[in-house]
Amino acid sequence: MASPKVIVLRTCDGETFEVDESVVYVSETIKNMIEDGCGDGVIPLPNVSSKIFPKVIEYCKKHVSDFESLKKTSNGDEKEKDKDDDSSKKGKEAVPDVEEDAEEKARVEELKEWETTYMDIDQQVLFDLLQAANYLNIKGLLLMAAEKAASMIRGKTPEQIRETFNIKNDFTPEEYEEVRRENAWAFE
Amino acid sequence: MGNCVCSREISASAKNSIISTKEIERIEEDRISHLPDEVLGHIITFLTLREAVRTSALSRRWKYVWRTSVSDLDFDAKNMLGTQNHPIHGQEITSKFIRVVDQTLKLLQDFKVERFRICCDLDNRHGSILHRWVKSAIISGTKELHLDLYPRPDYQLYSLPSGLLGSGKKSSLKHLHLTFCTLNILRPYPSFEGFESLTTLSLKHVFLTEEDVGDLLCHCSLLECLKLAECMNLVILRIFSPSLKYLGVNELSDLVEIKLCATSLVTFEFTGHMVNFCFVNVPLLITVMLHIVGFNNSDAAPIALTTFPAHLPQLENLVIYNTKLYFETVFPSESLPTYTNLTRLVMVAKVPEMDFFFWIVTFMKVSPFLKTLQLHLCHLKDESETREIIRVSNIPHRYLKFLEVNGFAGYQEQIDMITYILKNAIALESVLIDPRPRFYLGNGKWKTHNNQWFMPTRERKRIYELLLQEFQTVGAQLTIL
Repeated sequence: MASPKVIVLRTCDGETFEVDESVVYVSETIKNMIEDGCGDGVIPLPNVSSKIFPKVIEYCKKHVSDFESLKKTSNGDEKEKDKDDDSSKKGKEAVPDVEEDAEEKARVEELKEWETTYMDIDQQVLFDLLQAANYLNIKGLLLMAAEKAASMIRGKTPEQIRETFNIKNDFTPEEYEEVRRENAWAFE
Repeated sequence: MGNCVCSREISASAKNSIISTKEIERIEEDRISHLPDEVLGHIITFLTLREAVRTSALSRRWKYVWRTSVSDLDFDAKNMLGTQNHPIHGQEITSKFIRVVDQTLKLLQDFKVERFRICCDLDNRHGSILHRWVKSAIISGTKELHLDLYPRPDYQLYSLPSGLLGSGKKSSLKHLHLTFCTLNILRPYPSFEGFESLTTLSLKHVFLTEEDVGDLLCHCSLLECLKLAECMNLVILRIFSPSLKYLGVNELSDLVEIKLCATSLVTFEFTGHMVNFCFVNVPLLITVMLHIVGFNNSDAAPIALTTFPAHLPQLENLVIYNTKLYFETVFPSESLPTYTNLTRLVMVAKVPEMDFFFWIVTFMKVSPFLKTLQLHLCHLKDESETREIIRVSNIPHRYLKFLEVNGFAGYQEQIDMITYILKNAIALESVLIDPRPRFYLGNGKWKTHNNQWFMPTRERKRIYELLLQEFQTVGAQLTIL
């Protein structure tokens, strides 16, 4: 294979970034664009700001090796996603430390620590990340951010959730009653 | 409508006062509601069903989002209705559970459900209800169906008609898990519609005859994973399946013999009292887990050392639970067959250290190409005072590269054991010692027990230094967690 190709990308606010091809390939969206022949010029990213792009690239860099080994298959491997059919709840409860041997164990531990630090962010960054990951089609990042958002919803009453995210309750009193009645069991 | 405006006013004034870290977190606009449906959907998949349903009350925008994004319907009476750990509930709670499931299913009528699970103490009396739910699940294209029922002492188990799984036009069911049910296979013309697409079948405490097992395997031509647990009445288990890759057998109390004729079988895991193992045709079987329980004289280690090498010469990975004491006179290690392909050995101790040690040494002797050795220690007290000292000679092992020790507590016997291995494994590259015990979940997966077990730094250092001296290879790595 030739020397690593560098891709130039431009965010919505006009800034350009130069990133290794293997790193941007983590984004399905960019990958498709490159495969369609856009890799030689500047790739425009109209829905991504220069503020969030470095954070996204940080994720991509960390997860490049997963993708290299998978070659050019579709959206990569999430280590957290269980293969076990019995207890899998897709991250709803704490993901059990399921690992096979010493090397795998150490790798999983290290990745967990990295993820904890990476996701120590405020709401603004979180939502920027969710939108960017969605647009750039980086499934692992999207799910990681989604899980963080879910953790902010978990255990709260609707009132508390609204307060956390500044959601306006636009139900009429009748509508609100109906919603709560429809699934009364969940509100008890 | 009123309360939201109010809270905003309050917070506006609060902003002028001392800003707490909580305030900094809050943002001005409602960004979350502006995310596209699919992103919100991803967020909701991380919530329990109950939490997901509650999002419907957030605002108009959120009212229907949960319905399209819940793809995992886990109706667990314990979690949903707030009853704690004991699965047996009162009649009232069961009725409520039924109502809740019905209501929720009604709201989700048109949406695709990937995984559907019912966990409640339902039985034969609720037959028609359960039939209805299974049908709904199948029609909605579910891929994974779990019926985890709990028996009430006086009632009969729910009987699932085998043909019910064929309710959909084209069966998409891949995984079926039944606990405490009966599989109603009507003869002489049983219907196995819906079973043809199964890749996983897990039956726990399901009454099966040998004919049933044969029929199931015959009709599940894509079956890759079969788990049988606590199924009484099976005396001889005949596994005849060209597609099966994994077989897990757990505590079949009436079992006497297992006959394996499965050309794709890769992994076989067995827990239970001793039976006769007939490996008729398992050319690809390379991983075996053996855990013999019961009070008779059998144990996994002797069998794995005497009969397995001949019947399974291709064996590469072995997980052995060691439950028997070692007596040299009864178990001479001189004339044992060799494992020519065994590269990975996991041994779980259920005996005192000294016995465990002798089994380890014996295994090392008969597995010259062993690359990875993983030990799970438990430090049982050696009750007998009169056991003779058995000498162990140093036998160099030229291939062992990785040693992992779990449940290490720093006892002298444990240190001696590790020292012996370090001395003799002349190709050792890396050693990992973890004080935390691990539990086997099955199918190659372990769970580390995270709480409480840790070694004080000084102790860790002392052991580190002690063991480092024993390393034969230069550049080998020793890690103590």
